Formats: sequence, structure tokens, C-alpha cells
Amino acid sequence: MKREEVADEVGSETMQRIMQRVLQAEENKLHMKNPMGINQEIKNIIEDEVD
Amino acid sequence: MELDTLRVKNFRQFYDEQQIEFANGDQNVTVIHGSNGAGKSTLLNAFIWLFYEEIELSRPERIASERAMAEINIGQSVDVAVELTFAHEDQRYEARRTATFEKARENDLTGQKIDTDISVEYTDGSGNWKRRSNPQNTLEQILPERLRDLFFFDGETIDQLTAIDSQDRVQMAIQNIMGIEILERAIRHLEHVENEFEDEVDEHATDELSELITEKRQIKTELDDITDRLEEVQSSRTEAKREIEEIDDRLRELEDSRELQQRRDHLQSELDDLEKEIENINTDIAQEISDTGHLVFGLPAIEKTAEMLRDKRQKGEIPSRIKSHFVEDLLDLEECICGRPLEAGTPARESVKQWQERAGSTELEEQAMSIVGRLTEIGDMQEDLFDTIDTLLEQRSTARDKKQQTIEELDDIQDKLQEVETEDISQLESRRSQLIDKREEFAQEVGRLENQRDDLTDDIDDIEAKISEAREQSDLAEQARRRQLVAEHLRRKLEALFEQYQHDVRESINDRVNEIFRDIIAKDYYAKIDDDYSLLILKDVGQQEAVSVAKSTGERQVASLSFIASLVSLARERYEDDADATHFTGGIYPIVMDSPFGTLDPEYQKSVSKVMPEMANQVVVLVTQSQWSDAVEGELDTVSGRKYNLEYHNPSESDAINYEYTVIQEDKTQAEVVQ
Repeated sequence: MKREEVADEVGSETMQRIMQRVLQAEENKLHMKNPMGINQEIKNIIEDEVD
Repeated sequence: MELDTLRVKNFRQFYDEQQIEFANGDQNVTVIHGSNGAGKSTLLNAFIWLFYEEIELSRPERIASERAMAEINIGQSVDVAVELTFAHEDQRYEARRTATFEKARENDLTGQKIDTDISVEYTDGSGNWKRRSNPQNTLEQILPERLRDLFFFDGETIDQLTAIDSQDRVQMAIQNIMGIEILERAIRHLEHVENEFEDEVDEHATDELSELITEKRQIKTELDDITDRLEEVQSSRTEAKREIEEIDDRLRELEDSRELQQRRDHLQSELDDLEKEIENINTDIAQEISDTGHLVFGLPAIEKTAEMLRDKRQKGEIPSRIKSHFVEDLLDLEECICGRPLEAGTPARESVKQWQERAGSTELEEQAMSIVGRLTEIGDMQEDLFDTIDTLLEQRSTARDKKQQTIEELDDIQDKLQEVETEDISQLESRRSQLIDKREEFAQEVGRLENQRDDLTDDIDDIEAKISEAREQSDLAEQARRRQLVAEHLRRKLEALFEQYQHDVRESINDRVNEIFRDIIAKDYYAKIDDDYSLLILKDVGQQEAVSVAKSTGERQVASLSFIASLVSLARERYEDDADATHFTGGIYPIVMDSPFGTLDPEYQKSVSKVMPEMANQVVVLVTQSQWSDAVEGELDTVSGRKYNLEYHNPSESDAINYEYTVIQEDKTQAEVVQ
């Protein structure tokens, strides 16, 4: 299983949506020096989008 | 963000409530004059305190006005407030931080902080004012603390940005204000998430599945062998049975053996019937014990209960011999069965009434009767059980005896047939005897093989369940691996974006820094941010070479100012350019500068003043009178929309003044005064 294959399988639309959601999560916590829970939030986004 | 009005109340030397309205539009510079110590840095700190609750001055704990503290008695308090009204992203805001200081003793000019509060109100879409539930977060989002050095800075120390060890500050400033920080953080956090998914892969990935599959294959092979052997033995047994039947047929045909064989057929039939009968009896015994065998174990308790109930019945307690209804009727009629009157209050009536209490309820009586009856039935059932079992055991014993007799007779027939002088018969019977033994061996082997087959089938069922579970685990590992690869893919994509974006931003800033720097600096120098984020001042020496030049503090200050101005103006451009990516929107920020001309010679002061309106949407300049040269005044007069003087009242200069305080006075133009 290769990275590119998985990306193709997931589809560019989903990948773009994941990126937007991840960046939005970062933006929401950008004012925090140590954004609590951001790792879990990003993990949840990927789990939510990738079966 | 567009500054509107700053109100300070009893904040440091700003006694009572005073305000500054900020210039915007074409004349976007607000100039605030003040002598040394008049409160320029304090005004800068009013912003910092409001946004971040910090004071960057000596004696930061002294927040309340000394004059206000001096005017109150012990136990009384002074309210301090800084309030800023501003516009941000099409909404109006009013941010207010307050603190209350109580005077603890005579001459206490600092006070004890007894209360503090922050509020942020904003106008919603309908123009109504609403309060933010988390005001500190709101302020952090509007002007992040990590950017504060870019917006609120001391001009005299700003040259530090050009110091040799300031690359990190320059890089951070670029990343922060241009939105690259989001990318940097996302990359870092995605890498962390990648590792977490990798841990999950390790957690779920296992060799168990392949081991189980191998084990299942081995058992399946063993099972196939046993099944083959079973078929083989069953076939041999069938063959032996067929051959025995053939011999029996032959023995029926032969004259010397016919009678014995017929007798054997009859006995064999009887033997089959007896075996069936014994089997049926065994089934009946098992069924009987299963249905009512428990009574044997429960009988002692049952007998004890029955005995207790019998005892109570004998004593007349269950059931009562006196019926409740009967006593009630007597009391209603007010006459006993003996004819004595039972009028109210008479001893006779009371005596009969006592029987009513002893009578007991009908329901209890019925239940007691039912239990006694049921217990009697149980006792009877136990006796029936023993009788039935005894009968069945007797029948089985009889059948077994008959079976034994039949077997003995069959053996006897076998012996007789083997002893028949006719050779054929003797050989046939010997062969039959061997086949019977073989058939028995085959039957035993079939039984053993069937047991093994059943055990192995159960083993395969168990392993298949485990394989199914292991497959699920394996699926989880595969899923975690897919997610890990997605996180990695995104991270790499963002890294490429980060590199490209950072390069573009640095190029843009380089051009802008140099543009502003050269507008100010008359010499043949130029400013550059190199690959390691050093802010350099260079000079061309021909043949496309440049050397770093020794810089005066003034030149370094100009370079730093140019850098900040370039960041702020590029952030504004990015904000106004809707075509850009969603998360790198830039922003509109003001610049509040304390003493920006401190170490500049008049020529540079004039040049800085000239470019100042272009540095940001709004520029607030805090200057001393000595820095306010004719050259500066000439340049700024046309672009300054608001001018203020900080009128400082110094106790050391007048006996009438006990404590220092500053009054903010707007400096109006002649035209405004006339109006």
C-alpha cells in the first residue's frame, strides 16, 4: 500500500476537504500558544473522512 | 482592525477619565506629543494591558493613578479602566479591561487589587450590541499576542530586529503575520497524528492471523485423513456385514446347518429386540429421574414444611375453625348463638369480638389449604417415582438376563456349527466368526474416528471464530495504515505549500522592505532578508556582488521599521485580495510606535515621516517634543488627522502639585479652533 495509491483511492475532493478542515482547526486555535487537543481534533477529522 | 477611540481612566498617571480619538482615512497618522516621562510609553502600555493584561514599564504593579489613590481614604478604592472602540472585519467592537484597587494604609499609592474584569462587546448583523462569552480569546484572535511586537513597539529598541541573532524573530514575524504559522503548525501536528496512526498499525497488526490459518489448514488435513479412514472402515464394515449375510444365506441353504442357522436368525432377532428394549428402559429411567428426581433432594425440607403446617392445623390456626364472616354476623345481629345479647359495651360482645381477631383472613386459609394439599401431592409423587424406577430396573434386569441367555445360546450355535463335520460349514462358520470380530473392530474404530472427527470439527469452528476476530484486527491495522498514509500525504503537500508560500512571501517582503528602506535611506544601500532570515543592510560593490555594511543605529532602526511596515502593508494587501487561499487572509493592522525618531538624524526623520502614512492603515506616533523637528512637522502635518499633547504635571516643579498626573489635550488646527 503506497501513499499515492491511498490518496488516489480517497480522492482529491476528500483530500482537499480534509486539508481545509485541518487548516480551519489550526486557525481556530492559532491564538493559543499550546493549542490543547489539536492533535486529537486532526486525528478525528482523518478518521471521520477515511474509512 | 481600525482604531476609533482609546479611553483611559486612572491608568498610571492618566488621572480620571480621558480619551484619544484616532485618525483614519487619508490623514491616517495620529501624533501624540509629550515630554520625557509624560506618559507616551504608558499610552502604548494601555494597549498592551487591555489586550494582554501586561505592563512593560518599571513598577508594573502600580496600575492605579497615584493622584487618585492619594485622594481616597483607607478602605476606599479606585477604579482603573482602559477601553478601546474599534472596527474589525465589518463589526464594531468595544473592549474594556478594568481593575479595582483598594487603599490598604496611609500613603498606599499602589493599593491592593480587589477586582478585575474584561469585556468585549460587538455589533451583530442587525447593529445590536452583544457581549462575547470569552473576551480574552476574542482579543487574542483579533491581535494575537505573538504579533504584538509588530504593532505596539518602542522605536528606540526596534533596531534589534537587525541584530545578528534576530533571525528567529524575523522569521516568526513573517510566518505569523502572513498566515504561514497555520501551515507550520498543521505540518507539525499532522506528523504527530501520523505517528499515532502508526502506533495503531503496530497495535492491530499481528502474525496471529497467518498462524491461525496455518493451524486451521493442519487440522483440516488431519480431518480429511480421518474422514477418508472413516469412509474406508465403514466400507470395510459394510463389506464384512455383507459377507456375513452371504455366509448366513449359505448356512440356511446347507442342510446340516440350516436348522442351527434358522435358530440363530431367530435368536439374533430376539437379541436385537432385547437390546432395543434395554435401551428404551434406560431412556425411561433417565427421563423419570430428570422429571422428578429432584424431589428426593427436596423431600426433607418439604416434609418439614408439611409438618409445620400440619401442626398449625392441629392447633386450629390454619385454617381457623372460626370464620371471620360468622363472627361479624353475630356482632351485626347483636345476639350470640347461645341467645345472649351482644349489645355495644357489654362484656359478652367484647368477648365475641376477640374471636374475630383470631379468625384470620379467608385468603390465608385458602393459601394454607392449597400448600398442604400441594405438599401431600409432592410426597405422593416421590413415592410414585421410587415405584416407577423400581419397576424399570426390574424390567431392565430381566431383559439383560434374557440377553445374556440369548448370547450364550448364539455362542453355543457358533460352536456347534464350527464342529459340524461338513468341511464347508465349519469353514464358513470360522470365517463368519472372524468377520464378526472384524466387524466389531470396525465398529469400534468407526466410533473412535467419529469422535476424533467431531473434536476436529469443533477445533476448526473455534479457529474460524479466532480467524474472524484476527481478520477484524487486521482490518483495523489496514485502516490505521491508510489513515497514516493520508496524514503523511497531507503533511508532504503542506510542506511543499509551506516552502513555496514562504519563498513567495519572503520575495514580496524583500521587495517591499527594500522599497521602503531606499525611500528613507539616501545612501547607496539596500535592505534584504536573506535565506536564514537575517535582516541585512547591503551595498553593491559591482559585478553583482554586495557586502554587508557597518550600520549606524539609525540605519538599523530604519531597516527594522521598513521590515515591519512591509509586513503590515503586505498583510493588508493580502486581506484586500479576495482571490487568495481561505486560511491566509492577512489582515488590517495599525502600528503604534513609541519614539520612532529617537536616534534618527533630521534627514532620516523627515524621510521616515514621509513614508509613515504608507506603513499601515493607521499609524499612531508617540514622540517627544525634541524629536518633533521642523522637518518632521512639515511632513506629518499634511497626513496627521489627529494631534495630542500630553500635559505632564510634575510635583517636583510646583508646590501646588502633590502627585504626578498627565492630561491629554487635543492639539487643534487654527481652522478647527475657528470652527
